[in-house]
Amino acid sequence: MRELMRWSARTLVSIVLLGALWPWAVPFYAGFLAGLGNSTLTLWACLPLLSLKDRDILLTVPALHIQVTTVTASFYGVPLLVALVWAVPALSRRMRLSLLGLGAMALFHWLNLLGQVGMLLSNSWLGKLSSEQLFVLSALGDMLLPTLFCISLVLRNRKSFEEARP
Amino acid sequence: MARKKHKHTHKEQPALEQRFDQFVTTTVTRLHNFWQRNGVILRAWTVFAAMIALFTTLLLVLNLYTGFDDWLNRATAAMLAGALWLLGAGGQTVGTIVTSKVFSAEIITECTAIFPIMIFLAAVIAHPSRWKQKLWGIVLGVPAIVFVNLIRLVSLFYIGYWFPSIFETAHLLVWQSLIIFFAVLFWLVWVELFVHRGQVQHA
Repeated sequence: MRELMRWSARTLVSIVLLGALWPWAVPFYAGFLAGLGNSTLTLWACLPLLSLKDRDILLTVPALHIQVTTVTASFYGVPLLVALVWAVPALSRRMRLSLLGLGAMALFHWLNLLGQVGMLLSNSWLGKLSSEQLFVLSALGDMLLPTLFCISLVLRNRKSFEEARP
Repeated sequence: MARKKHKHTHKEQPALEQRFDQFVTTTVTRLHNFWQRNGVILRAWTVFAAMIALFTTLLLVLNLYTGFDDWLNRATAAMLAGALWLLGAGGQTVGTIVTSKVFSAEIITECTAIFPIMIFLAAVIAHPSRWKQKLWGIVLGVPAIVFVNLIRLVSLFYIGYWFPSIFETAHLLVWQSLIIFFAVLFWLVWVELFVHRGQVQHA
């Protein structure tokens, strides 16, 4: 229980600190994602559609005269994941795990962006999803990935703890 | 010449077979070891992902056919207005819009505790434990998350009033992360108090 309290305190401080710093880093991260998205769209023989606007990524479809801001929720999953991983007690390979988690997060954000482009360009029912329902599908990932990562670390730590017990 | 060639192929065949057998055995052993090391986590991941998929589908269907999201937004708005009224800020609701002396806002699905609750429930169900323990986790954890979400909304109203310049950061980054942190924390507390202690008592 004492470990848990320590973890809570560390995570709280990390979340507040990283949350305060993240707005400065978001444009770089969003720019990286927009670049990656555009490269992929070019590979698919689509026109580069993504551009950076403040902290958000702007999606433009010239043929349809559409310009929308994608659902990004400021990519808060990134600082959350780092805060959760760095606060786990007695965890070796923090840096490696953080990078692994961030890679998974970037992969999710990249797929999410492409999904949103696909939805906007498609004529199927998926493309007709309202922004409210789209949020359920997209922004949930920012909550899910860090939680899943944290739960896995706890289970792994517990397993190694049980194995070490006489 | 033909004989020589035939001999050569005969010699190579067992070596190839041996190598293939070795490869299969090594792969199977590696997979077995990987499962031994990570089986618990992989099982938990699968259940967690399945639960999230189930809850998300359920939520989308409910929103589409019963207007569940509207009910949820109104309920959250009513709770928030009540809390603000208790704090002397004179909270009032008009549908999903909450007005008060300090700040006014519209409650949308993202403002409710539904997503952290979904994650918490999925984590509780995914963790290897008895159903009675899971039930305790759900009964105590869900109201706790709703309460923390209420604190989040009330604090955002006051942040919007006192520090409007940091409202966006507090709303989208700090509190969004904190609510997930609390869902994980409640899950950890449940694991510690109900699952670990239960196992120690049984041992």
